[in-house]
Amino acid sequence: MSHLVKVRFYAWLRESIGRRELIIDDCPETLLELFLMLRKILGEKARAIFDDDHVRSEIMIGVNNVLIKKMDIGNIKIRKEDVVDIMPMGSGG
Amino acid sequence: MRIHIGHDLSRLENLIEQVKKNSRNVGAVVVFIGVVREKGRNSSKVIKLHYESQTEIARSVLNKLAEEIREKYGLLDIAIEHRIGDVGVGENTLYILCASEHRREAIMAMEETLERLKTEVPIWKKEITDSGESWIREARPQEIEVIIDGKPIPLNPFVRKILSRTILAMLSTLRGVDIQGNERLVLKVFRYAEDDSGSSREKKIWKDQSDN
Repeated sequence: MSHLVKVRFYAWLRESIGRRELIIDDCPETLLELFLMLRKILGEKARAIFDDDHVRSEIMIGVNNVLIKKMDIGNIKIRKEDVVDIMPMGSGG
Repeated sequence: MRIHIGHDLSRLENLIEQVKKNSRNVGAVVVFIGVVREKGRNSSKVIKLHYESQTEIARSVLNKLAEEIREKYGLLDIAIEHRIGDVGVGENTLYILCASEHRREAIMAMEETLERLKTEVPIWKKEITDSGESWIREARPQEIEVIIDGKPIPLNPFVRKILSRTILAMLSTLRGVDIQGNERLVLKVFRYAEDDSGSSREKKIWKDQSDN
């Protein structure tokens, strides 16, 4: 089953990727599958998010305003109209 | 407990009163004020900092962090306020207040809160200077940091690994200590003043620990 999902990028990651958000109208069912899809869509620019086959350690992921652990991405189901935030490590203070 | 992320900060005096009010046993309030400095990276002159956040997540991460710190150090209260948007040179960007019965736990709590806030909370800053603008990208904290007399000592990866593993292995033998292997160590070495005799040093330390 496919879903329409919004993916948002923040701070320097947004500038590296060159876009604020991406609407995916044929999203797979899990977050892991979404990331694999993103890697294809973004091509070379995906290197800001991925280090070889893995999501970079300095990347944080949120789903519907909840921060999730990267180890869980294979288990997280994506539903229609979910919002996925892909964020660099913080630099506040 | 107060957590706030917004374009303005509260009056600091009010925050101090608020964390003191929470208990009549408050014996120390440690306050951190983050200020925008003019000296930028690469010797440029900072005009302003621009802070961006994913505010909903940042607020919930800060809440969780403050709860953890309060419980870990037995704080009587904690308040964290962070500004977003444009902040000019000399303006305040961040307040952290830790209130406790004694100063030591408030100081330790402050240090950990600040350290973790800088990387774990989705708030980012961009430096706007007279020579351009760039996002500040914090490096992931090292597994061990050694500071001697206030000076950070550079360590190569091999030494870092040996030191941290050895210290964690030693600590894991202590009763009631649960070492998971993902801990971060900060080793600080202070020297005594030269004219202190051994016995007076000991007395001074014990006196310091029993005060506040």
